[in-house]
Amino acid sequence: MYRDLRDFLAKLEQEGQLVRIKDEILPEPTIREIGRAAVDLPNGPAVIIENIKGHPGKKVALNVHGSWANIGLMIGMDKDTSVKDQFFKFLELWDKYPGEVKFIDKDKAPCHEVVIKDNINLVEMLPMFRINKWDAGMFFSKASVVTRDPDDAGNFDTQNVGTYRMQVMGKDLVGIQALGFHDIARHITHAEEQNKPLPIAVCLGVDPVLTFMASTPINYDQSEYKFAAAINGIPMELTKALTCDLDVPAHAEYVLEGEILPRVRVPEGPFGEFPGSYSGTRLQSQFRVKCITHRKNPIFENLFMGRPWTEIDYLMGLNTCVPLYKQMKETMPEIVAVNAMYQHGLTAIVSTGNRFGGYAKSVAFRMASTPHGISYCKNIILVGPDVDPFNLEQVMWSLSSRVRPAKDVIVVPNTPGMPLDPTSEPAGMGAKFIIDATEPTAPDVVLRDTRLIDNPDSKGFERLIADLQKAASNK
Amino acid sequence: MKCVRCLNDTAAKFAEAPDKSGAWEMYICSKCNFSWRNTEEEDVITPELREPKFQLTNEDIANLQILVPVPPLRK
Repeated sequence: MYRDLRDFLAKLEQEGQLVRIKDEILPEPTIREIGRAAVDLPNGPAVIIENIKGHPGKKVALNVHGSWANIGLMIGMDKDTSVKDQFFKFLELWDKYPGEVKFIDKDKAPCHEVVIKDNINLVEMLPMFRINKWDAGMFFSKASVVTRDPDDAGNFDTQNVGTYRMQVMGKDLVGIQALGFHDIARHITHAEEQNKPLPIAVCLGVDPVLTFMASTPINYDQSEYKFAAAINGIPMELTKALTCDLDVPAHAEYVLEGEILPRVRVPEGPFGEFPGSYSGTRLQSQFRVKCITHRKNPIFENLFMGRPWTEIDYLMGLNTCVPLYKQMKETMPEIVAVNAMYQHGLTAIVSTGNRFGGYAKSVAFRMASTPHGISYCKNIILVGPDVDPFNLEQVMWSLSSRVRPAKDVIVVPNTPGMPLDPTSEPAGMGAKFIIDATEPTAPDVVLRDTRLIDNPDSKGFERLIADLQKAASNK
Repeated sequence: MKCVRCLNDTAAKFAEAPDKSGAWEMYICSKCNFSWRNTEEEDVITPELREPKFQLTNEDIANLQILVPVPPLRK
């Protein structure tokens, strides 16, 4: 659908979902104020900041994925499509994997229009900014980071594209947070066991679906590039990096090529993270940038992340739900829908049928044993197939009318946890909290005989009344 | 130059506004990796005004947690 970031920005602008700020601003604190404001508005637009003091001609793009309107447009739907309908559209597109990948000659790839190998200075070449006030420095928060497994170098599918936070630590030095369960950590470990540097390509300003896939927890041997092509419905156009054997998006705005330094750990953080709080300072990996390539008149896309909800919650909302749904559905066909939009699945709601008594609790255990769910899914709420898990009023009704606290609430202590969750103590440990709000089925004791109120067939009048309301508001 | 976070004399200028306008300069600490711009809010770039929670002592730096340990070398 969109070959690159520019195609998508043009679509957003055409739909009234992109605005430009042309007044001269200083990077701090103004860029974070703009990021917060854009995402707080109903159907918040993307914002392009065009006049940054000291950086003439450079542009920053914020909030590109920062509303359901923008996510809907990204997958070819109307901007007023409901979240539930977007979820089912993603399920449909997901099954088109693998999509096609095409290679463009290095010399013809737009991302190589400008090549810089000498006197690299990241914060002079890119209009970087401190995202949150107490961050340790200037961070990249929305990059698609490419690495290969040194033990499986020829395998296109295990080449990883992921989003990791990265802190500028010098003219050409950058810290990177690679947590144990991240695919890139596996690559770093394999390189470090051999004391070898690991080539890395940091791609900034790529097509919106690749950014979406780079933060999606898919299987280790599934290709983010082929997934992006499948969802986009057009081939993914790649080219070879200039200094190593990595494949990078040919239409990226910027590509930073470098090497992760083996067996090095340096102080990194704090950084205002997705749970809405600052991480601590910890020892993390570091890489050196050897080459920067970019398009002419490049756009620096980065992400403001504050107390939820901000852009990252929209970006990681449905891409957390879909793989969890797919992985669970394989063995548990009763599952109807998964809403794991809350802080990357720290809280998740599953709508499922109860095949027999207690079954929904097994659905929770299945969620807690998916690759993503092991660390992330902490609070798991089960609702019946008649409840829309994206409709929180319905979910609350289900808790009110179907939960027997003594039987349906379970805490499993001392399980893996997500280190950035402020309740994870020590960082990396956690617990599972399960609420079964499905209707009990035999042989469980069924609830008192209650007769639910049937909903009348109201769809026809919904449309009529909506049209009348629209006409009334246009008067 | 003194780092505004760890207070060691290990910071230095590493960048300036690329249009040479003098609009801003940036500094970085080689010990704790904190970086800042001279045009930021006073309570971010002045040690006495910063929130104590976000300062680092040498003892803190010596005891930082490693999230992913360096693996043993292959034989």
